[in-house]
Amino acid sequence: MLGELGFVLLAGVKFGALYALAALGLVVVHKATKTVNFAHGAFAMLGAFASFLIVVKWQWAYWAAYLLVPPAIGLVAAALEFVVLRRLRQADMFTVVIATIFLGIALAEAFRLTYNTELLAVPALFTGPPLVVEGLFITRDTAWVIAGALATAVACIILFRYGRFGRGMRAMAANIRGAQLCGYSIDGVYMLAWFLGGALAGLTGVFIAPVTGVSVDLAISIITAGFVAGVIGGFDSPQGAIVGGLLLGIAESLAAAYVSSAMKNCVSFLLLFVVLMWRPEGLFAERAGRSV
Amino acid sequence: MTALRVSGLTVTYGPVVAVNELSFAIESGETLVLLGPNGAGKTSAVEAIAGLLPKRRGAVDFLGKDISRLNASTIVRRGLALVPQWRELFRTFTVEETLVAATTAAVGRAPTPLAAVYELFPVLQERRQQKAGSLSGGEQQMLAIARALVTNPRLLLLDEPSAGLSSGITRTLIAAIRRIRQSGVAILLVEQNMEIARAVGERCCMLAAGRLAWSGSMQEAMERNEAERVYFGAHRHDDTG
Amino acid sequence: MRNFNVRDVLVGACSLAAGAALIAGVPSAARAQVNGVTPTEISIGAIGALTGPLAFIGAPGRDSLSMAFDEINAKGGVCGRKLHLDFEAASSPAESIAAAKKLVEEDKVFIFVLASGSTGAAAAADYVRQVGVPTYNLYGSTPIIRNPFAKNVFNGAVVPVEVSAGALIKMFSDGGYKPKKFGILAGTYAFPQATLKAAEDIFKRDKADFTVEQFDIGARDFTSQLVSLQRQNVDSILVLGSFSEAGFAIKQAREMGMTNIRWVVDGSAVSSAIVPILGNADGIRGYYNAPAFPGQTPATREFEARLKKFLGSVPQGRPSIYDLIGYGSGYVVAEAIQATHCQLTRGNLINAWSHLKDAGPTKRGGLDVTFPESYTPTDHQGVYRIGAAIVKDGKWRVYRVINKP
Repeated sequence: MLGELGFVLLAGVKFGALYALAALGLVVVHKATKTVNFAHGAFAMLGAFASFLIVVKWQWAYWAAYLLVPPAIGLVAAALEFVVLRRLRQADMFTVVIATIFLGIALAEAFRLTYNTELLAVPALFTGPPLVVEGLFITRDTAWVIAGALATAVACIILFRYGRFGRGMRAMAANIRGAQLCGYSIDGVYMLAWFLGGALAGLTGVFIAPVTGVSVDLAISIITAGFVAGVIGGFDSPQGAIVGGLLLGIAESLAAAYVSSAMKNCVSFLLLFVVLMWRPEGLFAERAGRSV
Repeated sequence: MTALRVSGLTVTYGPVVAVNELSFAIESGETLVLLGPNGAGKTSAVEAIAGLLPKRRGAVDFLGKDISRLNASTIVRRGLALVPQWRELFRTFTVEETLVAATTAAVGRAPTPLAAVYELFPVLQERRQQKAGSLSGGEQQMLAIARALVTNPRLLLLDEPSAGLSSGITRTLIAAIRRIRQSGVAILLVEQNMEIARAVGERCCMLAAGRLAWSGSMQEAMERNEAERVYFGAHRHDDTG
Repeated sequence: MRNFNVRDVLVGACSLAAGAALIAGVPSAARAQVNGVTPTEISIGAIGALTGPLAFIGAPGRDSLSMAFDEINAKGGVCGRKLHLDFEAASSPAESIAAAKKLVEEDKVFIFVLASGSTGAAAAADYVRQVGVPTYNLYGSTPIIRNPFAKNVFNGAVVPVEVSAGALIKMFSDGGYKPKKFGILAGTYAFPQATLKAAEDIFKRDKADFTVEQFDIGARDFTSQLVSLQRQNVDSILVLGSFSEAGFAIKQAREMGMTNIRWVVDGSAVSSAIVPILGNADGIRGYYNAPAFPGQTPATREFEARLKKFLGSVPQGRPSIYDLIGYGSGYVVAEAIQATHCQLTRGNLINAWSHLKDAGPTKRGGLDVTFPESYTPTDHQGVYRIGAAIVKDGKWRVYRVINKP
């Protein structure tokens, strides 16, 4: 039954692409600042919410959501970095991580207080009849989510690899004192990293809003999936985030279909465990070669 | 013109005073050697000047402008580059990527062309595509110096470039430092290795226990055996210069 | 509202939080009176979540009880006294027990209302049985509050799962439809599991052909479950979960070409919010714990208008079933107090409550938005009736009332 397996794989790739996008933003911030931003899910939730406002409430054109939401959430993230986390720069890692966790909870609860509802539905960008390929129904929305998320991811790889900003972040990650001595300011790189991470979270939100709706739970599910995907990929490179996200999505989908539908959440942690056993540094950690 | 004027510089780590009221100056194009035993505060002094360490007190003027409140990235953009003692390379970057990354710091002036630093250190050109982490110790030191040179500095701080390197490599470094000096860049060299100090230094300052113990011309220092006296503590109660 | 930015959201959130803190912090005038009765006031305590994932139950509970009490007080109150609501926010089981103790032991409320859904009701069950305070469970369907029977605990508009499961299964045959094979799509968390067990019992008893697929809480991808149901040629699917889970499951099934399926969803999924998820939700059935939806009848339309006036503005997704039930329950409380002939002791109240017949808002001139509640000394389930509901032209409506199945 190719059709059946096709459905399962397609669903896996679709969610995997979204996980990859979520992981990408986490990795960008981590790479530059060595901080795992646990507020990332809440940023994505805000992005999805902003997309609801633009598309449903204000009835603007859909492209406006794709255009406006990422920079808006990026600014929110950069502002929070400036206001809250900059003061914690000298604090230990644990404090910073806890701060991001509570920042995420505060954002999620602020949303809940202003919009006390279980779920806000956002229509899909494309609503035409599904494409049929070899008996497989592919909705236009599914095709768009997969293509859009992966295109963004590829753009990130290029920016990271060859862009000035990407080089600065990688330099910062490799040696923070060395990076300063090359003219990269910590404040500048951190703020840019948070801006880019926030923008990616916002974009994740816009892509995911029609797929899952907007709810407070979104914050948790995005950070969980993004974190697991990130760790699988090595939490170091955009390539890792993409492969980690896709692997996670496909594994979840296959396990739910062919093992047990209650296995879905369990499989992500199983996958995490297996990868960490086999390669503790993750699949795509950038390696320095011979150490001296 | 005075390239660098340090006055009353004090650096502390908690209650420990690493650098105590240090004052000296470097003229444009001059090479000054900072000598002193381990723990004398040499590294603390240069890192504080370069903005990597916070200063407790004191003024640092670079090309006539106060830089004592600026951070490291801004200072290097002004044209004061540091080659730190532990090199602080990006192990995951290739040689060429490292040098390209440093061009960021050349703000308002052209970065030194990569070809020029490759000419100074031909081995780096051979290793262009190699990861910095896979280079030998000597090559890493060359890369650290090359990285600082790419920023096209007016003043170069070199913190013990010969530490842990063979005498063959050391001679290469001496030749390179001489050529850098010839190009008009002022140099502040921190050294314990008298061979290098003698080969490139014009004037020298001796540090002991965070204080300036003696300063004068390199030649005078050699003649008077100042180094030994500093190292063996003869200057501790003798603050005459 | 043209420029969205997070500052607006945060400012809004902060003012709301400050407002909630004010409401919670206002000291009760009737505090520290024995049994919560003074010559001018009767104090009624209630708990429910005002923040967190269960706030969609607790907040309407607080608002609509207050509105009902205001209406009753405007007409002179009960037994010459005003009804005063003492609401304690409580989300987790531990908070629920602490809040219940505070209301009963410190504030000494006359009646204790559980406006908190099954979680809070289950947590407080042992405590209220122990202290014997007259307790009114508005929203909890959990058996823990019902069994063992306690003479001081009254369960209002929300029916036990056996009753709702029976009604759901009945709905598959409405309109002459003949299901051949049933599929159940159930969440793995507590609430759907309770209904699942009840539904399985009924299917087994009826020797119906059925298969079960499960999903985790908050699931958005149902491909694997649907693939399996499709493979087994299921033509009737019962979805046990929230409206968002049900909505996305049905949406995905359609995308996979599963048309001509009769969908029946649990009461927790019967919400206007399922419609925008699906675009076209017409034909989906489910049950409702009230005789009509907001907007369906003149009474519910008037209710919506009053709630809007009472709150200033009605939040997204409101009024909900929790508003309707809270309002009706407020009137039931008044009627139970009246039935004591104003001999205001807890013993008298429990006794009077156990003999209430067809209690509800209508007798006091309130809006008829809930099923009337009747109690006997041995059966404290006030309502057994359920509204069978269907989406038509994008709106839920009750199309018939199912009496005790």
